[in-house]
Amino acid sequence: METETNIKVDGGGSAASVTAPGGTGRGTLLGLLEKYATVIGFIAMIVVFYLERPGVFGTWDNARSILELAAPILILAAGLTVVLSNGEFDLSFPGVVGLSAVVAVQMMSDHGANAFIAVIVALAVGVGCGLVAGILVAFQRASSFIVTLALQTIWTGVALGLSGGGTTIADVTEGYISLTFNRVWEIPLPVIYAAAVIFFAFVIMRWTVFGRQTMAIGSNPVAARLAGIRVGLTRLWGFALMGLCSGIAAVILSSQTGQYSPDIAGGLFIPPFVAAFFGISVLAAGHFNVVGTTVGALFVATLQTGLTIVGASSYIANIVIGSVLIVILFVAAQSRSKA
Amino acid sequence: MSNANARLELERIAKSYGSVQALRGVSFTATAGEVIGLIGANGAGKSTMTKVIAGATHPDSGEFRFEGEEVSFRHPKAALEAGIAMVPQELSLVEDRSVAENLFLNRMPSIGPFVRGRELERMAREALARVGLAEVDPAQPAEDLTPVEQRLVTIAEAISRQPKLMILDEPSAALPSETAARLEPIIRDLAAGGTTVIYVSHRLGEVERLSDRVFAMRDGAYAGELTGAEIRIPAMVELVGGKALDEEPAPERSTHDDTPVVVRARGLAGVRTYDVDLDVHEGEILGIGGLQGSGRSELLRLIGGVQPPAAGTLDVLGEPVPANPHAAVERGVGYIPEGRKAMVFPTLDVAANSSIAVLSDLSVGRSFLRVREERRRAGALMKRLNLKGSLGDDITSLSGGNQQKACMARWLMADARLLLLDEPTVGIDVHARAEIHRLLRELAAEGATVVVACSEPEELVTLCHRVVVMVEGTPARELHAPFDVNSVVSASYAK
Repeated sequence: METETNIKVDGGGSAASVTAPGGTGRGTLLGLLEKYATVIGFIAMIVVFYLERPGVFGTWDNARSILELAAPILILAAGLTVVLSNGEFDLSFPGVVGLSAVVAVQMMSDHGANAFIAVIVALAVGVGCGLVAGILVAFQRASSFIVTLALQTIWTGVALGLSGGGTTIADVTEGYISLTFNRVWEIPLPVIYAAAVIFFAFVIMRWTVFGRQTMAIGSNPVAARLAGIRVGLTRLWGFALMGLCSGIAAVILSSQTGQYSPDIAGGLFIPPFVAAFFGISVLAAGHFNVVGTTVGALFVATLQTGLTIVGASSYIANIVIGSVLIVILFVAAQSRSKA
Repeated sequence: MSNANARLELERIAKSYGSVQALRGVSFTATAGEVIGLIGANGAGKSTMTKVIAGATHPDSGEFRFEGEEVSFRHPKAALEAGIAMVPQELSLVEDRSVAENLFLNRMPSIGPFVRGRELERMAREALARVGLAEVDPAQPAEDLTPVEQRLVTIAEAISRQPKLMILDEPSAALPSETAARLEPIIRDLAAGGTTVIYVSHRLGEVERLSDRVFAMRDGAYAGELTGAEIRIPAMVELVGGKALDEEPAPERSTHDDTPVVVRARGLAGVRTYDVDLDVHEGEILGIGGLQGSGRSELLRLIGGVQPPAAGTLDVLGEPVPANPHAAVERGVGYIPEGRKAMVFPTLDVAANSSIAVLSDLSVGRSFLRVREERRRAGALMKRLNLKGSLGDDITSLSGGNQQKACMARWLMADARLLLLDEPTVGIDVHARAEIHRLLRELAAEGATVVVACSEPEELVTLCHRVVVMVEGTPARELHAPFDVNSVVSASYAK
């Protein structure tokens, strides 16, 4: 059956309109290439880095440090995938990470709290920030792009204020450091936390009412409302989950370094976006998805590590990762219009 | 073997998309000044056929001659230069730009980089006069025009290129039938001037009135042709479907006065509607007729809780009207808006599109989906609705009729007790349309209540027990089955 031109489908951000279903060329060489393009690119990158520095890049130690670097990216990207899936944007998470971290560290340094309390407070601050963004976006119908851009600078400002103008606070408990310092079967704890977050995100998006409704809203918000979905409430919970993920990332980062510093979320703004948009085109999914995001986060962590190993300066890394994001956007637009 | 009189000759044209064969060796000829009605069910290959002719897609094999010469268009622009213009179904106007700019978007009269404004206006007036829009100001933005005027502007754009062959793809699909008639004299005029017109439409009445010849397609192949006096609706239906369509049973006399009232409106008002007094009874199929802008669709939105009433009282299923669609769905109201754009989730598959309104019922503790149960129930409904496709298909890969069925499956799965449908069969072929009507009758017989807003009198006559005809925002007349098309039309113009 060919698709008639009179199929008037163009919901949400998808550009699907008059593409014949066979037009994706599934099964053809070009179609296969399209489907696996991102994965092939990932593997090619690993091979290049390996050939360049076989003694360093191909070791277990290196793989472990890539995974450790990937852990906070994975956690933030998982939350971001939920928000992006319901058609919204979040630019505020670096600010949320900073605020959660400063509050958690100060609970220990100023109020003598133990690691457990500090973690709970960090997560609560994260969720709270997410709820603020969610309420503004979902019920005041504000553009999430602008609202979260504003919140990013607000949260960053509050964190600087709390830390007395951005001084580094290093007074954390032993227990707090051991949250990330230890390994289980040679696997660093942050990697295990990241795996758990990814697992929960996958289950939520694939097998829960909330996840399905989130995808429906992202696919066509008008139709979602008419189908009886509470669009605002679902989006609000999406932002809350993003906030929770930011809180978890804040704990990991401050525990790993044993301190709060103003640039704690430095370098973590762009990679989660790269991961999520990379995920759209993984296996030509055509929409945001947790598995794709996971592959994307590993991709971006591998790229960062590889660039460091071959001795590229950090400004080179900035340029490369920004360029990769643009390329990925083009590839994602391709697989979206084919979906 | 070239036919000297033929303007367009296609021989054994074949085209596949992946594993789907859209055209299986179709041969087609057209001569100057001829109007050819191209008909077929959704998915029969009409669109691919027109895309091949207009250079929008390249055939895998076959011969293509235009004006006696072998041609092979690489893109639509090449076809346009050769004299083949296509008016696509979707309006392609830049809404906030002027009518004149829309008409000559890529070919503005200019001196260097500067547009010659007065010349543009003169050309625009000339083009508009050709389509009976002499009174339209070329400087006004395109979005200020009525839908039929917008459609006429897209046709004027194509005519101004002086095409030798013009393809019109469902030009009237989005128009109410009373205004669609404005297209017909323009098409006759065009053909009288020597242009070949290929007219694609599901509205067989239009095809019957306009065509010199009808070319029918089925499953990507030639299904038959009709000329002159043979061009009659029953003959066309037979060609499209491969079998004569069973005459739809006329609705029985309305006998629902003794069943409970499901919708009760008193003095109801919205933005365009006012003074609506209405009772809808259980098991009834009520039609809301009227011209475009008469408030048909708004009345449906008010009942569905999609738009809040401005005044009056409205009870739906025994309680005051639900405040939002969420509350409406909880109460058992299913609303299907006009056009599938506001219904379909393009990135979800067929099963997920049908289950989206009942996910809580399909879950453990309102959280975890019972996916197997979801698939089972969606599968059962697909069978009941004769929905072609499989559960995991992309919804956008289905034909329009099957997408509409998937949307109806959504409310069937939700056991909706009140179904509200706005133009349920626009752009859907006759067979799928008859199936949708049959389903609605079944649901009403089982005790559901159905309210249909519809611009086509024929559909109201075949489907509804009772019709309320809206005139300028308020109910003007009520018709009880059996009634005929003329009574609906004359009531629409009453006042």
